Amino acid sequence: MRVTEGMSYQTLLRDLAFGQDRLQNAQNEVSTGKKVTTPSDNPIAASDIVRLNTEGNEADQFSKNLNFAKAKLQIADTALDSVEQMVERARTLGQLSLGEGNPASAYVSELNGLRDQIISAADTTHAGRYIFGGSTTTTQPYVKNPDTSVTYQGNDQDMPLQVSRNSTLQTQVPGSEIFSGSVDIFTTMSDLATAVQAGDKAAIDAQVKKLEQFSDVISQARSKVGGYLNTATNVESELSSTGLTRKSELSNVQDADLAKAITELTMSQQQLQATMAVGARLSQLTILDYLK
Amino acid sequence: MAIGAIMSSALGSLIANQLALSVASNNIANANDTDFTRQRLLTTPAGPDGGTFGIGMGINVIGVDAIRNALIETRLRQENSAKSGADTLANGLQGIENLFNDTNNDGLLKKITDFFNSFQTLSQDPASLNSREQLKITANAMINALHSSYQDLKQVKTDADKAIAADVGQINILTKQIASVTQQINLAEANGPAPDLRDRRSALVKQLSSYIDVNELESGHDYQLTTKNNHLLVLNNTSKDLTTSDVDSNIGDGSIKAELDMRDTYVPKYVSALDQLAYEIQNHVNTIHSAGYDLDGNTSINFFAPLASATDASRLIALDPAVAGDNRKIAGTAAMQLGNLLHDPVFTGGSLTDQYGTLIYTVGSDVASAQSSMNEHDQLLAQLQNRRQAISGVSIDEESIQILQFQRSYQASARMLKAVDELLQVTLGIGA
Repeated sequence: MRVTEGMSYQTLLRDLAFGQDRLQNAQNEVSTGKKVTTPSDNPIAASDIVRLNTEGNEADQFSKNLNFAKAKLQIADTALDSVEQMVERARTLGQLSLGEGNPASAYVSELNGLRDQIISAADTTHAGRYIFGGSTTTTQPYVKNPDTSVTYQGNDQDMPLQVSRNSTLQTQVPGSEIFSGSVDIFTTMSDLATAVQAGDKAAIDAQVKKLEQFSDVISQARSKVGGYLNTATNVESELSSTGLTRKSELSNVQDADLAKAITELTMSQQQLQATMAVGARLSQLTILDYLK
Repeated sequence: MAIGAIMSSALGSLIANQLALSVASNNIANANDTDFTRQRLLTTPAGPDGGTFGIGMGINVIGVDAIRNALIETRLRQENSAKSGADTLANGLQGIENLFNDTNNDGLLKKITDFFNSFQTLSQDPASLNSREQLKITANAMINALHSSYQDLKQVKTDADKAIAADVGQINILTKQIASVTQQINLAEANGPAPDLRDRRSALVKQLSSYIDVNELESGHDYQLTTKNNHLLVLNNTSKDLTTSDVDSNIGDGSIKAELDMRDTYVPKYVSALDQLAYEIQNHVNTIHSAGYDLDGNTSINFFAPLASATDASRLIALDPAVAGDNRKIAGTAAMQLGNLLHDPVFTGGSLTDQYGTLIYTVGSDVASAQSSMNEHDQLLAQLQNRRQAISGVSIDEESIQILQFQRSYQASARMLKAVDELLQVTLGIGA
């Protein structure tokens, strides 16, 4: 083929532009550390990246839900633990009152004090919300009436949270299942105090039996809470392991292989240098130098 | 052969070589003009003198010829149109690609994710007014992102309209120039070839071809340019203005076609995907939200202002006025279920993320294929330019050697004149 100087220079220009483009791509990849920065770099990878990022953002939210649930459940557990101890003390007091010793009034006032403490434990809050009122979180669930009876103002609704794509976690046990469930602890406490006051042995025995039943209810509730906390821990480790898998998957589709990228950078630099060297020689070759 | 005849043959040779030198000089002068066609002096032996031995009478100059290949010129022009179209499309689509670039986790999908995550946060404490406010903030951020994506796409459409109008204007300027050059060619060619004017005209047609591919027809003295959809552009020395209404999808390759494709194919495709997304978000959120209860026990409340159809949904999507005006109207009891919409496979094509992923994939592959088509046409055009150069380009080396050749011939012819002069002196001396 007939080759003119114009062709050589045009080819040189194109080669230089191509070399610069290749160098710039290599530079981009090395400096951003990413091989996909726009959808057109790799459309399939881009849609994977978008999916993985969203899964990550959603998992962050699940983690927040999980932490919230754990904090709430731990507070419930602490409250139930103290109620358990108070009930145990009330049972002891009931039995003690049957023997010789202190006057009945001393037992009665301690029993009344314990009842008030149980009411306040049942009105425990987390982040300013009542945790034993079912889904009623802004109204005090247990209120002492003027006649010392106690009314439940909550409901029996659960408040689950989504903690992973396919699992929810209960964050509480409604008071209707504990304090005012099969045994109403507040009535029992009042009845016990009345029986102690009256020195009615049969009535005291009956109420102490009820307290024992209530202890079972409390321990059931505590094992429920413990079970939820257990689930939370399991889901947490599952989230963190899927998080790791997701991060490595994301890294696979998005991150540049630095060794490869730097090699490409060096190669494209060399290519550009070679093109420039050829270009410099091009202008040295002319017949005019030989026509003297 | 008479001495006078030798002299005139030598003189003819002098003149011919001088002309050949000036053609070479013209070639060298225009060597760097890529539209220039190299020229050659056409000569022929002058033929026998009619004497006994039929000795030739020297050289006849026929004219100047431009060395071009009409087929390659046509292919080059077509490829120029294709390349220009591919460039325009690739550049336009790259602009759109940025609207959907979520690979850095900070695009529209991030805002949609934030919105649904806010529902999850609300489910922790449905009574919280702060969480409700936060939910409204993220909802508005998502709505604004949808609106601005819609506006940006509409802007691309408006820009394409403007570009088409500007291109049509350029085309009309060029066709006027082509008609005027054609007139000059017709005048000049009455007296002989006009290669420079023809180069000028093919340069103008080549410029024109970056806007639209054209049919060029020349027969005898008639010259005609038409578009691929048969609108007359130039007939001899008159041009006919193209209008934007003459421009349709049959216009043939070039930047105008690419702008039409952007305006009528790509932008509507992305707008409708965006509309579908916005519509389905609105639809699913409202369905679940209206089944839930607000802080005051009310139900059947829409979260978004209900939309009748997906048409323009990304522009129209807005909070329901009741919810916008009062945080308490948000149905907290449905919060968890609403948050789960982010991954629930209830959207067209799976989950919301799947649907968005498909959109990203579509945009990405549209841009990638436009770019590869651009690169492909770039190479084809370069190949054709090389082929044209191989035939019509000026080689300085070649011209240099020819200069040497003509110079020597000129010297020899001058020497011949001198020899004839000496012969004449001898002849004149006979009588003295």
